[in-house]
Amino acid sequence: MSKTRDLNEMRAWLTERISTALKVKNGMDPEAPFSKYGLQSIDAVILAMEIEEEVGVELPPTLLWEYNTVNECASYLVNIGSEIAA
Amino acid sequence: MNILATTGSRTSLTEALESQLGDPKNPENPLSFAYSQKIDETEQFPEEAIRWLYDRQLARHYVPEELGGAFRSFSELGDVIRLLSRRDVSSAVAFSTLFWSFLAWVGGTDDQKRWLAKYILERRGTMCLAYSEKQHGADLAASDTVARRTADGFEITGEKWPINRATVGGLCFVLAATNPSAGASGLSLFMLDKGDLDPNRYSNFPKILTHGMRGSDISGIKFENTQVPARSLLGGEGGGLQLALRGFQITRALCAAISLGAGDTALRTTLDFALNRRLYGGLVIDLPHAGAVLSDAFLDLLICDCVTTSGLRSFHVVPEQSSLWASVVKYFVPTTIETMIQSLSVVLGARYYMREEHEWGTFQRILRDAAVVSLFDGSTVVNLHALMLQFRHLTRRRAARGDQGPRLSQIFDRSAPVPPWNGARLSLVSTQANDALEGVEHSLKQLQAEAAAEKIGDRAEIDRILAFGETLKREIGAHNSNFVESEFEHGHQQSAAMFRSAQRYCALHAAASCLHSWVWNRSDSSSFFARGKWLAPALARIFDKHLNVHHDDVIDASRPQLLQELQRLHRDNRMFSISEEALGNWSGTCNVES
Repeated sequence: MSKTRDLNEMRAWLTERISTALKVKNGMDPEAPFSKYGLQSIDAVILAMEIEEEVGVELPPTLLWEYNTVNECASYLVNIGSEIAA
Repeated sequence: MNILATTGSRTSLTEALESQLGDPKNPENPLSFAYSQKIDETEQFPEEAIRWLYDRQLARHYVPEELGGAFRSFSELGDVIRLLSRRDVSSAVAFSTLFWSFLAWVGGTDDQKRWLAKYILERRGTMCLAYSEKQHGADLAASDTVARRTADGFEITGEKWPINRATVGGLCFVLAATNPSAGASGLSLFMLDKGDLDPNRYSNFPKILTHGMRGSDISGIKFENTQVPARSLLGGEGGGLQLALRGFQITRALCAAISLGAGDTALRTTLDFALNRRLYGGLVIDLPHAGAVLSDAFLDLLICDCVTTSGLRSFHVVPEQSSLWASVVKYFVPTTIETMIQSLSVVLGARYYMREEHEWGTFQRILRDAAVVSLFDGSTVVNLHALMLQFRHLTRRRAARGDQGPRLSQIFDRSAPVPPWNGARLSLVSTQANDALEGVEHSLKQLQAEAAAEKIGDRAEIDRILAFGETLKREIGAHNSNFVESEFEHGHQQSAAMFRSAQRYCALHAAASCLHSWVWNRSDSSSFFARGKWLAPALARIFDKHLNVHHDDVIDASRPQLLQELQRLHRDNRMFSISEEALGNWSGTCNVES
């Protein structure tokens, strides 16, 4: 799962996952906050729960508030995976 | 006298408090209808009423027992709020801003909790919730109020408006951005004692003239580089929005108790009129249309009581689901009761429009005052939105619901004690499927089994309820089917169809709450509620109003029994509720104006 992905793979996966959820048509800026694509507060918590099920690692419900760009969130997920692998 | 020391059960708490307050129709009594009329007409803050409530240590109900207070359960606290509201909504709302203390009980340090308990219990502390801003309304994440770190704490700059008790109160819970570029995780919550602030660095906006609750202090507060101590930060830097949203779950459900109290008085004052006014050779209550309006209103109150009581109990049993239950309760109960009160106005006729004459103009005042409940603390739209975002995610959690029997029993059996409340288990969104909806099958099976074993006398009534239950189950199934494969919903641009789905969802939850409430409280055969004659018409009424499923015959056939029960409760001076709480043993009752 997440621990097997490197940072680039995680960025690509996350971009695809979030742009599908938010119906982003013209690509996502990996440095732009998710709110730019319409994600607010409660829906960000629900999306974090869906991502949690998919990556198989326990995540904070406020994941997408605290790491609110593709790059920040991907780094966090990779780091969590590394910790678990260790 | 300290009322709390003499009370054990819910009913005796209600009766003890009512006995102390006395007949609201006696102008000499605290929180009388005459007093309510006076503060409304003069637009004066209800100082005397609030002082009376603090004198009787009612504030203890808002403070947990382990901190020296008397809070044990949300249903008890709801009873207190309902009682105050049935007398005067303005006083109930002004006093109940104390429920914002739950922000500290949930998110505060031990020191902060001890300080706040002492502040309330010893210094008669009062508080306001300063979240809203003129430019941003309910969009809390867009707050322009900023808190900058300083050597000693923070410096806050910004304006909060409109805020209930911003001026007449000593404490402010303020939401401000400690990291404005970090969006939702950049907000922090502060518990500010105005006594700690430089009075030259903050000011209040004037009281706003309002449609109802005209005695209230609805004003605002402005901070200008206001120094606040570090100890006022509540729940950690960046944790403000999370704490604010969890706090709303508690207060939103308690708001329904305000509506229930207002609804009781609206129906009672209308019934007083209908039982005494003669028209066309008979009493108004005997006119078929008036009788129908009154019995419908009674059903609405019973339905809303089932929704509110179970919602408040659910906080102790399944706090993980509170984001759902609170939003359903806050949408369904105030909107139902506001509509109910409006419907009752036709029975009063011209008197509904008068600010005096029949019982101190109570009806029109309640109509105006109660309208605030669906507005504040998360409006109708905000609550429906919070629900619709969760639909897809909830349908995916149904498989993990486990054995619901013990949970349903704890939530709905009013004779069962609730577990101590644990605010740490509150979740921003529900981590579990909704037990009210997903438990319908369980309660129906239990009813079938009990009916078969007990050979219940009125089998036709049971069969009718089971048939309604099957319809309810189908409707819940249809809702789940709609959303199990739906797309991820986000943002605030939701369609009208989504809002309709959310309204239907609340109606399904309300119908399920009625069904469970009866199934789990059937043992006392002396009680009208337990005998269950109200349930089929209640379900029919919900289906008729919200689900486009019509059983007019069921509702029409039930009216004589409902009216008879309504008049019995009125005659015996009992609350129009599922527990029929006695409304005090008054002596020297004085009805000056009628």
